[in-house]
Amino acid sequence: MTSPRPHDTLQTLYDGELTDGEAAELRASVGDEDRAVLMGLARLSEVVRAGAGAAEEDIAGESDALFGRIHAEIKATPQPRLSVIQGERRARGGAVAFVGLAIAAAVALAFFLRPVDTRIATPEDPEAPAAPAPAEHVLEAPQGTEVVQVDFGQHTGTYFEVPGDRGQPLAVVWIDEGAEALQ
Amino acid sequence: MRARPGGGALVALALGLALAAPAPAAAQNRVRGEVFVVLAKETPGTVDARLEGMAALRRPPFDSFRSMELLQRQPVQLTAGDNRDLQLPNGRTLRIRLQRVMPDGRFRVEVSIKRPTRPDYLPLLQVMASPGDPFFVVGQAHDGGTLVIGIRLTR
Repeated sequence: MTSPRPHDTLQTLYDGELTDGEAAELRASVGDEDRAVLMGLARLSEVVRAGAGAAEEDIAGESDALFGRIHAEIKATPQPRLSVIQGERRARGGAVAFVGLAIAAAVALAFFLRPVDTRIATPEDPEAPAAPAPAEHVLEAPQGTEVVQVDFGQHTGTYFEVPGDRGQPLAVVWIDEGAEALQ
Repeated sequence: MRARPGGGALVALALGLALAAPAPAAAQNRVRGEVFVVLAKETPGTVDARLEGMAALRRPPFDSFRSMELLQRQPVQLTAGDNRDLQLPNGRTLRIRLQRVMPDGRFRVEVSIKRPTRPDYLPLLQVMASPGDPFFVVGQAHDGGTLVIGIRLTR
């Protein structure tokens, strides 16, 4: 008759933690008392497994009841009304935004593409505009007419100004034909 | 049929670009005007009613003329750099040339009076003129009087 095995050794056998060789050797050497211990372990395991299944069923039942109550409360609570955005309206909104962008681009182009005379008066280019005067001096263009240059050729002459209907100076070039007029 | 939403935006963009584009230089440097030729005499007579709006012709030294007859009133259209020739009653040619439109809106104008077989009667006159304000060239003897040429340019 063999002496009883320690419970730890039998527990490892029951749990399947021994190698196949160790398990076969141990099974061949267990006595009646060891078999009773192993049967006790099996029965205990069944009891524990049965208890765990009942607990799972209870938890599942309670969970279903909880979600049922939540759904009922959600249905009972007034929900905010949702507005549906039609596809056409969204497209128009996009078009309006694009038109705004286009107008902004056009204004920017108008600013950057405006005609600017960049020539500055120099002795080599007397017709170019003079450098811009400070803003406080640019009130309005001079009124009237004025002689810039005159070549009388073979004649003599003079130029002067007479006042116009608004008092503005008006240029007069008077040519003296002299003897030629008598011919 | 529904219009594409982006169509209006493209039209707006094209319109904006058209407005933003600088005006053609030719359009900026093209002006209208008129040339009037008056036969002024010191002998008593009448002043043409069409000259009543020309206040300068009633002031010295024009007031020494006691009669004025409007011989020509010729509308002109000038483009910068191009010559415009007008035949005067005495057979001479009045040449007008718009040099340029100044940044302040005034016109820089060249005028000359040419004779067919002789040196130019008036080789060169350069005037700076505000829109609507005339200038005068006086002195050619014609038909017992003196020609007064007025030139006025506008936009």
